[in-house]
Formats: sequence, structure tokens, C-alpha cells
Amino acid sequence: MDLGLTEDQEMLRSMAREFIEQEAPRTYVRDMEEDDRGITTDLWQKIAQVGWLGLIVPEEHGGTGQSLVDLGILMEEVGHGVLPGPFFNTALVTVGILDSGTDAQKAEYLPKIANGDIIASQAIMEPYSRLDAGGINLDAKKQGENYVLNGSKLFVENAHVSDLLLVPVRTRKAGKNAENGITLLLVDANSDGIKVDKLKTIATDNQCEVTFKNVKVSAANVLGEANNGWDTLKLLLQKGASLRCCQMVGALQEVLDMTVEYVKNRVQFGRPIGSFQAIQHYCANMATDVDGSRFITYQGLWRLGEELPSDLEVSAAKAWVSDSAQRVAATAHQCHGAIGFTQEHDLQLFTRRLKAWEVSFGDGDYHRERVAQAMDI
Amino acid sequence: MDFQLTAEAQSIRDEARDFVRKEWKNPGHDLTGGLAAWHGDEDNRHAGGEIAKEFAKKLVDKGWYTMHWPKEFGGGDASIEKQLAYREVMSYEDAPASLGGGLVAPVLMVHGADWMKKEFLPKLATADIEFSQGFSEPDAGSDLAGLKTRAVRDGDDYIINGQKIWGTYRNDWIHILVRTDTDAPKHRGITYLIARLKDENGDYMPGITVRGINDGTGNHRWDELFMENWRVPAQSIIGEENRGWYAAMTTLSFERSNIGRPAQLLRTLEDTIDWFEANSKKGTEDTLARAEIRNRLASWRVEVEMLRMLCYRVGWMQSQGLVPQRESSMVKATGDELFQRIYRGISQIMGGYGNLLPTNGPKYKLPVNDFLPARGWQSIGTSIGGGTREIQKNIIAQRGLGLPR
Repeated sequence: MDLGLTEDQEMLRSMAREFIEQEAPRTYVRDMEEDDRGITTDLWQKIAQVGWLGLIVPEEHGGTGQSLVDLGILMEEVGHGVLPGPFFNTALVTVGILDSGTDAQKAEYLPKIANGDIIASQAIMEPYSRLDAGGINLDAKKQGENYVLNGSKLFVENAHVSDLLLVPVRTRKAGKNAENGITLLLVDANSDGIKVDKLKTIATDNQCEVTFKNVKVSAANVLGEANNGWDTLKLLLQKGASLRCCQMVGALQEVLDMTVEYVKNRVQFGRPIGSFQAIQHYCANMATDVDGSRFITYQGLWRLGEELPSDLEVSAAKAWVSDSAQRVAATAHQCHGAIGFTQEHDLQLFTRRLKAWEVSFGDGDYHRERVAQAMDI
Repeated sequence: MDFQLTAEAQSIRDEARDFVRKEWKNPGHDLTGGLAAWHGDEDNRHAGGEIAKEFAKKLVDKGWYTMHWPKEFGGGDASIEKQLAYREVMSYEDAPASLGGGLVAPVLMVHGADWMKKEFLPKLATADIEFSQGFSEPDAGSDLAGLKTRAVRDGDDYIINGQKIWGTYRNDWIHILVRTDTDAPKHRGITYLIARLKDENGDYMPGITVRGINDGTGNHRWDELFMENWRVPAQSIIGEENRGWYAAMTTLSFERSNIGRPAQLLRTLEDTIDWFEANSKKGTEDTLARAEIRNRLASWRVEVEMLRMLCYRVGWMQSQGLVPQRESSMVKATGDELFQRIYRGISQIMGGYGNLLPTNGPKYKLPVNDFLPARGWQSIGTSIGGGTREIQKNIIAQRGLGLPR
């Protein structure tokens, strides 16, 4: 058992933190909230140059071939710095291609992802907002060597700047078992018939509606097996949930640190409010939530990386982190008083995103039901 | 990063599991301190203690009982991971004993006089002696260092006057904190003694009076200890005079992740689900299909897993030679609270069955593990004993996060 980071991982972490502090400080985060694209091309290129986009890409495809846990550590820093832009989505699609792509697909996409030429996102949910197999209904009919897509996807992050979309579609009618008949496609986001509408959300996290009207996708772009894509998608959803947890852990740590710093310095009744036991116990609760979140998260991610059974561990992590994130954020606000409720204070940058990430890849209830299933209840 | 235990730790886990399943059948006694009372009286509690001792003897024979002790005291020098794996499985299997020596052994190893080591360590190693603990007083609970039991030197003896509480003072020996300097700052006037409570015939020493205290269910759980001009030889000092506080804080590097708590809670959840599976066939409604029940059971499972990870973190820190502090307090505060909520919650979803005592005969045999109401009751005390939840949170906030006092 070793729950610590290696020297290389420590370095990855500290360099990531330094990079974000320099290249994407909070002023940049605020600017990007007003920006239509949500990230500058300049920053995306720098992210590529420091090797983040190729972190888990094998060397033969232009990356450095590091592990899923390494990506998680990086994602924690991305959360810690509330880094704007499509890094998360691009990384997750990279994971999907690595896990299930053909050699040809890897050779085509991975080098372009690694060098920053293409931005990618996953387009999974549909207007019913479900994460189970029955929620995948986007119609795709085989016509010759192509699939023709009609329907829509909802809550697709950063679709408006994406070049590549990973899209689960229904290629056969859902019979008794909705898990049959799902196919994953790698879709050129600039194809004819695709329309992207950006939605305004509390987190300004660039959620989009993507509609498909007679969109032609080559059968060569099937990721994994046609009609049997559910297992591939399930694994991708798990990795998405787990990496999202990492991002949340980073944000939660910063919320805790910010709060501890504030209560040490804020003086009322002639003493720092952090000397009051009520505040101390709030902070103790937050710290316990954050630490619990960290270790339950990495257990799940590590198991995924080792290809061990991880249904229970990953869902336990997302259920716990989703809920504790809301508790931590609410407590941080209580400790900050009125100032923490303002736009000028940075706390809101975190609270709004934690709210969005709570439901991303499934909220607590969704994952508790999955835990119940994993327990054979 | 690696969440897997070493091969050595995995192998002791498997071996211990097989051993317990073969050698241990719980006869329906509460061996964790809370349950015997439900079965009746002091005799029953005593019987429970004997059964636990008998099992501990088997562990002694296996060489497991002191696997965590240093080699020089006859121990096995087991790695922290091995201890953790062993404790986790022993708690999961509801074994009545796992590692021996309690709090006293490490203190004696570090601070004990030679005669103490010779006299007590071998007996502790073979489960042949138990100590009473004389720490808390009526006015010294969370503020333990404020204790007032006074020891005054008189020739080769101390003469002790005062009162202790919240222990069971039925053993032959006691380890006890007393005040020897009333002028010094409170932590620096305390001396730690190991002394006879009873003589060779089993009678209390002159000056000692013990009175039982019942818990809220009417069962005897603790005692009060009154000391009036009790003479204790001065050679009984553990460590140095007035340095007793620091000696008592000695923990050695024994595993102290508290991994038994999540293991035992996990077992309880699994037993509960089994009970429902067995019983829902009889009824008209499948309780386990109800969304709110599934949500609650899964929610507890999630929290048990989170707690388990916090425990592993403490173990891992110790294996790295680090000293967990706020990390241990997190485990204690979280674990106590979860223990309370899970038992309260399970007894809710079991309805009236959750309140039945095991003394109703076989027709109304208790669900889960015979111990539900007793452990539910016992759980109330866990966030008080051994450092209250509030003290744990103070430690996390002040020592962990650096908040001002």
C-alpha cells in the first residue's frame, strides 16, 4: 500500500500548479467567463506545449504515455485552479480512444490531440438527461458505409469549440435490454448537419445542445464494436466520473484552504473568528470531507487504472464527493460571511462549478443506486 | 500510488479469516463491552470475558496476539500493513480478540521499570492479566490533565486520596494517573502509577471502595473508585515523578488506524441485507426493492468506504514513519458518528424487530447479529469515551489546520 505520490507525480503536480498560476490566474478565469469560446487559443497551445494533452498518449503517437492516476493528479490541479476550457473533455475522449480505438483511429486522432490541433468532447446525454443505456436514443441508420444521425445531445461541454465529438448513438432499437444496439462514433464536429447552441449555466461551463440532422459518419469511425458499445460507454462514464472527482477534490482543497486563511485573519469581537469553536468545528468538518473525498477518489481511479473491478469504488467516490462538495461549499460561505457571497470574492468561482460538477456523470442518488447494485441488493 | 496491501498482509488476512471461521462461534455474548448486560447480569459478563480470553489464548498459540510487539519483548515485529489487514478481518469476522496488551504494554515497554516489564509483559502477552484504567475523574473528563486525585509521598509509599470514574475497577491491578505536584502547571504535576487494587485473595486493598454505575438501560457498565489513604509503594511509578502525563501519551508505533470500525460496520450492513433477503420472502413487500431503503443502505456503504479510506491513510502514514494526529481524529470523529447513524438507521428500517432484546427466546430471535439494540445503545457512548467528538474536532482545527486557540 502506498497512498502517496511518487517524486515524478509530485513534480507533475507542482509544475501544473505553477503553470496555472502563471498562465491562467483568477483574472484570466474571470475574463473567460465573459468570453464566447471560454479559452484563448494561446492558452490551449501552451497547454499542449507543456505536455498535458499528450500526458496519457503513448510515445508512438506523440505523447508521454503516463498513467490514468497521473492524469487524475493533473485533473486535481485543473480543479484547484478552476482552469477554464475544454481540457477535461479532450482528456476524456483521449481516454476513450486509448481504451477502445483501433490502431488507425489512434494514429489519426491521438497525435492531433497531443499537439493541440483538435479539441474533443463527449456528447453523451440527451434531452431526457439520463445516464443509463435507455437514455441513448439518438437515431443512427446504416446507409452503405455510413451511419446517418438524427436527433440531439444535451449538456455537451465545449461542443462549440470542439473539432471531434465522441457520440453514443442507437443503431438498433432498444428491445428488452436497452444495452443492446448502442454504438459509439467519433464524429467530426464540423460535419454538415450539426448545429451547436451554447447554453447559459450557473457555472458558465459552456454546456451545449448539439442537434444532428442527416449527419453522415463513416463506419470506420465506430469506436469499439458496433451495436455493442454499452460496455465501452460504461467504462468511459466511470472514468469520467472518477476524473471529475479528481477535479472536484482539487477545487475542494482550495475552498478549504481559502476558508482557513480567511477565518485566521478575520477579526470580530477582538479576536480572529477562527478561534471560535463553532468556526473551528465547521473547518474540521470541511477538512474531513475533503480528505475523505481525496482518498475515496484515488482508490476508484487507481482500480480503474489497474483494470480491477471498480463499480462500487467509483460510484462510492462520486456519490461521496458530489455530496460533500455541496456541504464544503455551503460551510465555506457560512464562514466567509457576506463577502464570500459577492462577485468580487473568488469563492463563487468554485461554488458555481462545484454545483455543476455535482451532477456531472451522475449525482449522489444515481451513484448510490449503482452502489446498491454493486452490493447485490 | 497503490491501494493494494502487501502479499504478506493479504496472506495474514486470508489465514486469519479461515482461522476465525473455524475456531470461533459467537455464543451470543457481547464481547465488545456493551452486550453481555443485555443477556442478564454480572455473571454473564464474566462468562463473556472468559470466552474472549479463551479465544485470545488461541491467538497466543498462533503467535498472532503479540505480532505487533517488538521482538525484544517476544513480539512479532509485524509491519503496520500486516497489523491493519489482520485487524480488519478480525473485526469483520466479529472475533472477540485480536491484538493484545492494550494501552499498558507499550507504556511499560518504553517507561516501565525492569520489575514491571518482567512481571507484567509476559502475562499481557499470554492474555493472563488485565488492568483497570484510572484516568477519568468526576471533574476531569475532556480536561483530563485537570485531575485531582492526590498522591503524597510518605517514606517508601504514596498515600492516595481521591476518586476515579468511568472504568471498571474489578481487576487485580490498575494503571492510574495521580497528582503529585499541585503547584506545577497541570500537565507537569501528574505521576503515572501501576498498583494493586486487590490483594492475592481478591480483596480490595485497604482504603479502596468500589461502587457500580448502571447505564441508561439499567445494566451495570462502569464503576466509581474511591481512594482513602490508599498506600501504594513508590516503586510503582511508571517513568518519572511528575512526568506521568507524557508517559501515558506513549503509543509506540502500533497500528492505530481504527480499521476495526469500518470493518465491523460493513459486516453489519451485509448481515442486515441478508436478513432482509431472508425475511422479505415471507412478507408481501420486498423491502430491498424500495428506492429509499436502497438509497439508505447504499449511502451507509459509501460512508463506510470513505471511513475505510481514512483509516488506510492513518495506517499508511504510520508505515511511512509519520505520526498521524488530525488524521486519527478524523477517523474517530467520523467513525463514531457513522456507527451511531448506521445502527439507528438499521433499527428504524427493521421496525419493531430492531428493538427486540435477545432474551425473548428463539421465536423472536434478533435480526442481524443478536446485538442490534445493544450496539445501537452502546454507539451513543462512542463519541464521548476516548476523547469526545468535540475534542477530536478541536484537534483537527487547531493542530491540523492551525487555527488559533
